[in-house]
Amino acid sequence: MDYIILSILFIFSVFYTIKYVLITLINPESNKCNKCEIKKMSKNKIHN
Amino acid sequence: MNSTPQIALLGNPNSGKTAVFNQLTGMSQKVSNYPGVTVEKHIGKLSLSNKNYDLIDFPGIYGIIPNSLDEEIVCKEIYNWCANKETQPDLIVCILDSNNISRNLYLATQIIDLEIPTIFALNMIDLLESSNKQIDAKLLREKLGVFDVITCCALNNKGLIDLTQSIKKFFNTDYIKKKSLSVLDELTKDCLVDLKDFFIKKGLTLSQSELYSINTVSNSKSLSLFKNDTEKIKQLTNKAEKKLSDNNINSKSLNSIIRYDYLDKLFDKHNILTDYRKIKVKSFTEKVDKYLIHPIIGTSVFLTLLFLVFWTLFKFAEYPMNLVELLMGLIKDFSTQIIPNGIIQDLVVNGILEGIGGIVIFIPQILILMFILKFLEDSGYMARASFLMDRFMSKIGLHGGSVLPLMSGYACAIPGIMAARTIDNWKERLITILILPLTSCTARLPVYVIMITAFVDDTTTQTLLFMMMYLLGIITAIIIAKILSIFLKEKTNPSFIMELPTYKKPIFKTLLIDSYSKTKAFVIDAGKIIFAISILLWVLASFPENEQNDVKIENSYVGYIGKTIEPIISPMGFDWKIGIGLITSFAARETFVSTMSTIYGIDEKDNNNLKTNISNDYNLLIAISVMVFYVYAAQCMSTFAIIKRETNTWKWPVFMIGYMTLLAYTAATLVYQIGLIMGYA
Repeated sequence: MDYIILSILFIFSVFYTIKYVLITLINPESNKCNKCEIKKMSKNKIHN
Repeated sequence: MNSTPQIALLGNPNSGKTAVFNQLTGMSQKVSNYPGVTVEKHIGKLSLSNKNYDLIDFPGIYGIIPNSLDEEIVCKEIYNWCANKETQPDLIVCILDSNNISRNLYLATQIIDLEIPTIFALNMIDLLESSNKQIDAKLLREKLGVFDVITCCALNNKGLIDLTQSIKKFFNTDYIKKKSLSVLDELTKDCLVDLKDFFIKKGLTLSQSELYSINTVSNSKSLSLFKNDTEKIKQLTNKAEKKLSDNNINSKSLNSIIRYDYLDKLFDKHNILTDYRKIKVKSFTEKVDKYLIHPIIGTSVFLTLLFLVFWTLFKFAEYPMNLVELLMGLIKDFSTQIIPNGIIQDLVVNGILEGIGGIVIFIPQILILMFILKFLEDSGYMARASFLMDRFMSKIGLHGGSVLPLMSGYACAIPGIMAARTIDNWKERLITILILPLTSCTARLPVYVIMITAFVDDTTTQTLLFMMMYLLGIITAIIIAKILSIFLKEKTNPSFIMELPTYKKPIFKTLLIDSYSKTKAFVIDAGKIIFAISILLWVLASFPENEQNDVKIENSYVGYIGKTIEPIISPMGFDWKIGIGLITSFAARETFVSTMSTIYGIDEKDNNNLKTNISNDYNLLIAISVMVFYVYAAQCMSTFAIIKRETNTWKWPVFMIGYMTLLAYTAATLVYQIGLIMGYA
């Protein structure tokens, strides 16, 4: 049972890390810049 | 077609547009006491008596002709309003800094010429009134012919009800815009007639055509606004300039001369500002600035302040940090009790909780740092610090406009890189972007703190070492900028006018909210990836098991990876554990400390804290080498991606990674090897 839970958590972590890396590269503000106000800023911006 | 009424917020930089926007929409865009904080336009919903309006916050501008990329966004939009009437907002709310009324009206009179209904909001009126001055808003409205003029103080939420009432009143009445007053005399009008006729043919009104005619002859940068008509307008501008010159009229200062002349006459004739043009008494700001922007006194004050900020960080964060550590210990004990013995308990206690605990311990320090820096920003001191740095910047051929983006990099490089849009010269903007990751961001703080506190007990020495790391980043950034400015070929014009805002008393609530939200975001966002990496690390550090169902971390997958890279990093004094920390740091720098926590959590299992484990395994020389590496290393995917987006090429982010990695490796190796030779190991 422990190994099943561990496998699920491991797979989840691998996917989350890959997703984090991809999202950061495509849209840099989305992850990192939750730290600052930029995320809110980009959510609301109007593209010219 | 958008049926929601549109309201545009326009005004000079640092006039308080975003503060008004936040108060009216309930949003929380960044507000600060220096120009150039907003570099993109944002839209928010304003709801008044069950009716919704789109409120659009634009970056600040000094005129309708752009001087930088952020201004270009606004100026292009404004020209588009004139050329395509259906894109016009229903109403413009022009925010003016009451304390710089003359300069703010320079832009405001141009906005009036757009012939779009306008409300003037005279912001920061409390500061003006505290210096015994008063503006007659009613008289100003009457003389300038705008829909309304209200006074307010957006930061304190004063007067904004008047603004919303005025907006409601506008949308509930059939307002007919009064004809704009022409600021041009007949002779100048005659010189500009061809340009004016051209703009009229393009669909602009008479007033708008005159406005753009004056601006095109006054500023050659304006031509970028007109896309396909550039050549034609260039011809007409040259013709108009010649005519003006023949009549002894200086075309380059035409806009400022006619507008300030108009405003001077207006203020002389009418009692709009009660002590306008009277003998000036030195304000508090001027008195303080005499010392704070003085090259020697100002720099000494800056360095002392920097020392005090960092000293406070070490002195006052110690007790709350111990408390957080105690709390994490209790959570780990509790988890050990409720989770049955086995790999899941080991994963939770020595993997996840060790990793998360490694970072949450820094909450007090990040909170204190963010609070003090926001205090300095909002009080107006940060703009003075930038002014002091501007002297160095101009010496290395950089634009003074580079200073504010660089200063904002202390929290996170991303907003700093985006703020570099305020720099109009491409070469200077690029240099600023490339050196910005060298300013020490919040993510480096845990690395510096853990390495310093592991080997140094004295608060003053801790502070000096910490300060050295920040200064090392700034000094290197200046040197790199100088080198880049030699190699990047483009003519530069380093002249720059920096607007120093008046000193303001920061609002305690704003400081608390800002520092709380930044710290929360730091913990929550870094926490998510740290959580995932802690699980990965624990699994990779706990397998493969040997025949006794046991595993030595050196023989685990993590140990294998670490040992593989060890020969490359050993010249810097780093072992395989630090090597693993360097690898995980590529996701986010903060994960270095949590990685070390997790590795020690699995390896030691002796309840020693990370500080003790580090001090047992390494020495001060290695700690300094690690810190120097982190000052220079480009371990931030977000920075890499944002540079790609801002420069629109892979060339510059790859260059940034290359030069910073080389710098980090060389500097850390030099520190360690020289230290070894000098016998510091």
